[in-house]
Amino acid sequence: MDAVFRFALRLSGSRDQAEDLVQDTFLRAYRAWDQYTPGTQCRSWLFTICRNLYLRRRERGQRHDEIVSENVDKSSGPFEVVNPVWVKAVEADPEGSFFDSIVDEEVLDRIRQLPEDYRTAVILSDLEGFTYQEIADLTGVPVGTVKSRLFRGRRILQKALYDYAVSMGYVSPPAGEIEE
Amino acid sequence: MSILRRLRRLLAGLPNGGQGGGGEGSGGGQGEPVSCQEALARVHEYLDGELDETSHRQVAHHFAVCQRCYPHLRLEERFREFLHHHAGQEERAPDHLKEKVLELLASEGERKD
Repeated sequence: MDAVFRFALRLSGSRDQAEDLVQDTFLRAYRAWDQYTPGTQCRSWLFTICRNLYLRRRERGQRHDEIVSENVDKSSGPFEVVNPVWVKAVEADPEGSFFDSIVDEEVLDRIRQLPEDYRTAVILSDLEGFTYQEIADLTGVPVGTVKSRLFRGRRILQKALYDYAVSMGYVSPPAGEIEE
Repeated sequence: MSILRRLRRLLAGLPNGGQGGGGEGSGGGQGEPVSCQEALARVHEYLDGELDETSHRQVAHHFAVCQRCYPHLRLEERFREFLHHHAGQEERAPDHLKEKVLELLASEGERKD
């Protein structure tokens, strides 16, 4: 139950919502137990139910344009192969020591700010250790889409955390970016 | 095809059988080095353990010998370690929630019976 609670909490960003989601997830799983295929990952099955519940509630609670705007990737243009955040970090803090200064709450906050598709992919891969194929099955998209969501989600998160570290003075911006 | 690649093929005695023709020489055959662009483009799949054995070895070799790319790999690894340890991994479902779920399931079970 802990894993489902963590997943629900990271998806929704609210403890109350997460608790509701967990209750409903287990209730639905109990009712639909005959649909569970023994031998398959129970955790994946519970996460799928939990995510579907979350998406349905979000749809009910928000107008369509709000959901669309939440899911829009606000980063501009195509992503370059060379990560521009790491280019800066290699210069300023190649060991990535700035990470040590960022508190857990900030990390969770930045994860919550990711568009939902990216957030789910990052949570399932980086925090829950699912494979690309498992994430594809769970979210109902091709593996290629999972790769792309992970790539973009991680890039956005890395930039958000790096920018936060710079704003807090945990890492110095490259010389060219220091304001006069 | 880059000049370097052509040279490598010539030295390896491979025929320059045109682009995209498949076979040994195309798409990173056994032991064929990968470029910085290729290695960085695959860094996520590499760290996620999603590359096949040959590609994994090629990318690993590139990061082991490329001084420009290695720091990018290190930062990517640091990011993952950091996320793993600082994104509420120790979070547990509260006891009252566990009790509530058990109650719900018990009453659902009674209703079914």
